[in-house]
Amino acid sequence: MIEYDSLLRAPRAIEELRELRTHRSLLRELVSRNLKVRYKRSAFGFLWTMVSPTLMLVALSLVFSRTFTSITPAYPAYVFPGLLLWNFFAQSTTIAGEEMAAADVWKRVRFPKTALAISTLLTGLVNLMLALLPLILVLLLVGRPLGAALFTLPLTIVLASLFVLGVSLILATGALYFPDVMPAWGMLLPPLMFSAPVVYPASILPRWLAPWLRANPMTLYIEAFRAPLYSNAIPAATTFAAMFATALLMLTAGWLLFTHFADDIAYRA
Amino acid sequence: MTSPIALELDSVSVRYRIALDSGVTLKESIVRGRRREYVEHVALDAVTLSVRQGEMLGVIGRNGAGKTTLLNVMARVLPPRSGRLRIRGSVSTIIDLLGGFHPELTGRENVYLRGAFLGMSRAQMQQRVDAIASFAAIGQFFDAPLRTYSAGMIVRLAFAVAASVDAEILLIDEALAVGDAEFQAKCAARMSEHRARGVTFVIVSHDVLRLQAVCDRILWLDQGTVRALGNPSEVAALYLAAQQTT
Repeated sequence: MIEYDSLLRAPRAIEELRELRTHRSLLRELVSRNLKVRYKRSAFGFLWTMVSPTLMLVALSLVFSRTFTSITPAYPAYVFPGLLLWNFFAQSTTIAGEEMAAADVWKRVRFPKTALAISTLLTGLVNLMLALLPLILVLLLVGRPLGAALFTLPLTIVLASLFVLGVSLILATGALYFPDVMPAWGMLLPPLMFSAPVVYPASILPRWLAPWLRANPMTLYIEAFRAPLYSNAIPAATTFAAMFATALLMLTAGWLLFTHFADDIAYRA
Repeated sequence: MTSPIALELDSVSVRYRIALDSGVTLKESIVRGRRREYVEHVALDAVTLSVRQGEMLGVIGRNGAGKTTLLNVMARVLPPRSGRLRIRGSVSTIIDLLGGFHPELTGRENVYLRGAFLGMSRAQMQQRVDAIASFAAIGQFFDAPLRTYSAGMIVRLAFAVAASVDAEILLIDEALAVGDAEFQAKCAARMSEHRARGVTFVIVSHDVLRLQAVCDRILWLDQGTVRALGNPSEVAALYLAAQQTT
């Protein structure tokens, strides 16, 4: 017999975890919905999500290949991993924030509300996985050494995902209360991308500016994602420790913030 | 009447804040310390009520009396702002028909999605999907996108999903129950099956005479408060008399 007492509720952050467990199949159905809705009525399907990073890859390669040739030979292999991980971050957070702010399902049915953010993240992950195929094709074409370091990729992707989920939950909470949060986020993303070494090698920056790259947490994840792909290098243990700490901090903050306001959301929608 | 209590509300209040202007931007909020202006609407005002297991409670009242809000509180969609809510048993609802549906997905896909929102597993839905399709009786549309449906077909599909869930407490907003006479008869038959199994019902309806005929008790809500609660024919008579004088 299921019993519920509004005076004896667990802390919201814990209650949310329990409800995700009782609604296990919801995540799967939501991811399947997202993929179907996005790809069902388009002839190119998944290829559409590859259009923007591929165009960026071509443009950047044409412009910068010669400039950076001494520091980063085979420039397309340097820039592509960074673009894909950045795209994963930018798209997942934007879609989660916009979808959750616009949703009215909050006041229609009882369900664990973080499921919308988690399913958006998982959808982004599916796209990232699919994008690994063209990525590896490019790497082979320009003759990069692929090897054992690739086994660190799953861990990096998992840690980056936790970080993305934390950011998504913070954005969604803000966007539910202030309509200008998502437009502001859209404007912030391009400068944020250029404050991480996505399109250029970190070593071209003047000495005084280099430490500031570290202020952008995405720098960590992008470098750790790129190292095994670009140069078959295993990121340092300290890098993994820093990625773990950043992800844990962001996810805890996002989870506590969002679940704190979760009760109020049905009243606002 | 000695069966245990399924639903218990102790002085439950729900207040909505209704925004008066078009909203405050982040800048206004930070720079000028401006707050959005609200009027408060008390949708439920200290409602105390208990429903026994297996009981069928009818809820009547005018538009805006708080009937749907009451169902939403029992369904835990709206957490009460104050007071205490206790529930013993699993709850299924037919309060809102669109929750969880997506217009681009087919009826079949929407059945799985809606089921997942209600906490059902994929395996559980697979067992039920054929029964749901035949109950909804929308033919080939079951495998067509929901955006091609008429309003009546969406109702049939939503009702078929909700009726397939084995819940111990069923919350129904009958103001939504459109559909032809045949479908309504089918719904009524399904409800009496559930009733025979000992399911607890809370039904909101405008059809006072029908509630009087089927319910164990009737609750009359008026401006968010309990105006009367008890014997169906007595409460119905009070309500109908009050309707005629205003």
